[in-house]
Amino acid sequence: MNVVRVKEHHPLYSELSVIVGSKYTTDSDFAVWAYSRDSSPVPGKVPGIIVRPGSTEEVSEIIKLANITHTPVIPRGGGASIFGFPAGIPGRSIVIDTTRLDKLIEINEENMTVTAEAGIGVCELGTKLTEKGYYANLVWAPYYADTLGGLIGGVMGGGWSTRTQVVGPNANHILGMKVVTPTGGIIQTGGGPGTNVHRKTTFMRDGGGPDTTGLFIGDGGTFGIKTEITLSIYPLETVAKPRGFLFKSFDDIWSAISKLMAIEPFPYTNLVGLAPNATALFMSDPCWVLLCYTRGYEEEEVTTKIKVVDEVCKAAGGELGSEAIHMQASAAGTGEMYREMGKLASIGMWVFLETHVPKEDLPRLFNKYAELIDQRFEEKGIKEYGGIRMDVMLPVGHGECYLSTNVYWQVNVPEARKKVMEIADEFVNVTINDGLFATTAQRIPAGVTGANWSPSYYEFMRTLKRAMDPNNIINPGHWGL
Amino acid sequence: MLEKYRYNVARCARCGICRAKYSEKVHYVCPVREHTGGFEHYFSRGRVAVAAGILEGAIDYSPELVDVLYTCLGCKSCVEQCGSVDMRNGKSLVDTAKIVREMREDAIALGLEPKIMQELHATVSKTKNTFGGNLEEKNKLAKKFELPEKGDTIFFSGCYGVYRDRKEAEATIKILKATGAAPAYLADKEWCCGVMEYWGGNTKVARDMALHNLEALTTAGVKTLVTACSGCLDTIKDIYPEIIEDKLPFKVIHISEYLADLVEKGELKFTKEINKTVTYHDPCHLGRHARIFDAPRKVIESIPGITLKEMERNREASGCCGSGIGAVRALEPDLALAITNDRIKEAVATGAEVLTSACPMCVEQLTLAGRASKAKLEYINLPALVAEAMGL
Repeated sequence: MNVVRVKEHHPLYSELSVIVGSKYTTDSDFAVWAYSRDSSPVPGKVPGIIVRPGSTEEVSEIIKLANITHTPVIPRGGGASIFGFPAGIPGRSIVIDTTRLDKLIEINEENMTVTAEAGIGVCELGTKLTEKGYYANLVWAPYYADTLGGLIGGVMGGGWSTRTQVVGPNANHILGMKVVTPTGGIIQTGGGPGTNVHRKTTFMRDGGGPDTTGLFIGDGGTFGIKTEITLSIYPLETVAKPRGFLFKSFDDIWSAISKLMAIEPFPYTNLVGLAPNATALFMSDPCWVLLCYTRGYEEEEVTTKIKVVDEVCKAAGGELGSEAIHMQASAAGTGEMYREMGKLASIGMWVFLETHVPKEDLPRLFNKYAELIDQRFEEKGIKEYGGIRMDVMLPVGHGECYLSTNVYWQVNVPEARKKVMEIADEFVNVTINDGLFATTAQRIPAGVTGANWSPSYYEFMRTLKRAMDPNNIINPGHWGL
Repeated sequence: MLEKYRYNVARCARCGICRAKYSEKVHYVCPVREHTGGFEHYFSRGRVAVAAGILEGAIDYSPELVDVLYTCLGCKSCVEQCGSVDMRNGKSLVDTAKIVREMREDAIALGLEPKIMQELHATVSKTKNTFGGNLEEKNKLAKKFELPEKGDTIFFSGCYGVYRDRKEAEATIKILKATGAAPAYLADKEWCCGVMEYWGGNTKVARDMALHNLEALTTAGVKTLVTACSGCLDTIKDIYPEIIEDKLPFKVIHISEYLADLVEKGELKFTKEINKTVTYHDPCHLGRHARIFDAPRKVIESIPGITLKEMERNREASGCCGSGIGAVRALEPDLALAITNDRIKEAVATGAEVLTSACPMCVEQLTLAGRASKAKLEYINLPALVAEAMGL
């Protein structure tokens, strides 16, 4: 071990310190190293300097300075992305850590909205809403780590809550945002105050011109840095019932899922199908398990819905699970099962291979990907590293399904990580080539997504990016732009 | 050495639960993140990332990094929230307090130990106690209470009990005698337990203290060691076996456990009502480190007249007092004070008249900060509170 004594400051250290204060500026070697990775096994890229601005105006000033000096900017929320942190230019990029922008600005009970700064933790926002008797469609995981802005920019659909399967992703519930554009301008989207100079309250995304809010959802922060966000809120349900069913085969559980997701209104709020390789975690005799959680405002409504679930599952050959299985359904339905992601480390090092599949393709693609991963496990000797996988499927709306193979391995040697990442890279490429979507909007999936755009769409996006970000300041290289 | 934790460092999932600012259980996980610039290296995930960088050879120790390492309180709030388990031994998979300790040890080996810590460790080496006091004080305590040097039950006063909060040590002795425990005391043969040295990264001095104390205790015929200091308790109970790589041949208990057992049996007799509202601060080393949460509460609630009011963050989610085994208080006094003030505000918010704890270091830190901020609280260590109710 050697001791490093002196390192030259980043060229913008002084200027950035003037903007946000020296307390919130650092370019120490260990500090930038700690910002080099997200929560995935994707190799890190070390930025040049980190700043933690405390206001929208400070973010704007940083961006203006970056434009003048042509310095890349990487926005960062909770650092919980699962497929690679935007690379920027290692050693030079400015990482804007937004977690100091963490104020809950207003819960408006009359208009049923909440406005918060983008760096607020999702858990903080969720807890404060719960205390008031409301919820917003945020995220089920990583609940404690994500920031609101990171969630909206970094995840397909702006986030997935435990109610998403029936009410759609968070994108459907975002009303407007305050965004610092890549040239340092400050705009307010959503048709409300800040968009229309005369309008004082409420947001309507499709009023006041095109819906530009959507431009900043799932953009990985590339079109601008979100600093304030307004969401719809809803009263917390007062009744909830869990149900767990055991199935003998994929065909049986899929029969139940496909029938349940065709029913309108949905008889469930949350429905999760687990393969035996996943239920082995909590069952001595693992089998296919369907976890259902139904929320509502009236006992009768929930009881009626659960009755429908029971009938469909039994008709598909399902057997009602034990109390322990129902508890798993509760844990899934409330999000507890996914919230404490740190505990996943107990199972092993992990990477989530997630995608979205049209309903009619699910049986075929589920088997295709299972075979592919089995084959790669064999070829690359992943089992020698203690490799295991857990397959999960969830219906989303009436016509789509989320499919995830969670891969864990036990040995933390670089070659194990490298081999698993090779599988992950291939999975992203194969699924997008199958016409599916990546669930995250970060480094690797964003690159593959961009590479699969049609020439006309790529050109449109390039034009858009150039118009908005003429110096290619924010997330250069994102989507291959 | 950090190398020992290579497996654990690599296993951090970097999920970021350790940076959560608000959940149903805690307002924030890391008090240091809350009261500094808040960069990653000020809380668990980033500290572990830095450890990974060192192990990978990407970064090196520097005086600036060492300053950052000594801001860690070792409170294990992050470990509690993380909850990941090392399946090989059932211990915490990512124990950042331990990982930081190993980094401090490596930094010391490179000659980068902060001057204040060097002085502290030199003092302990020379005087066998944290405060540079004369061991004769311990003989005086033994003489005052006519405590034998040998016996089944040994009272371990620790440095604080003799050189800082004599009332705590004396109350503990009175309680033990009044309840028939017939305590013995090593007197000047009792050296510092080594808590500050161990967590401060000076393993050599900690080891010297441990080996001496274990020999003295064995010679004295110990079967049960009782202490009122949470730092001594955790160090002797959990760290000594790590140092000697063996189980201890005797039992180690905190005075609150001893008292809770008497309460359970209906054998703790009080002669005085204390008609006050009391709030209890969980010391990190008694709570999250040694997993003792119920015993002190059981004792407090058994005292006639007392109403116990919990602070918002309590038990596993308790806030740290800010002392950080004295290291943070010594090296970063403003940071320590800011953290203590948070705790004082929480105590005041309960409406309690008395703030008690089961660790002399916590009580001292809370008392100093509370008095400075003119908080309307009375500060008393748990044994002193119990002794008062027992009329001792």
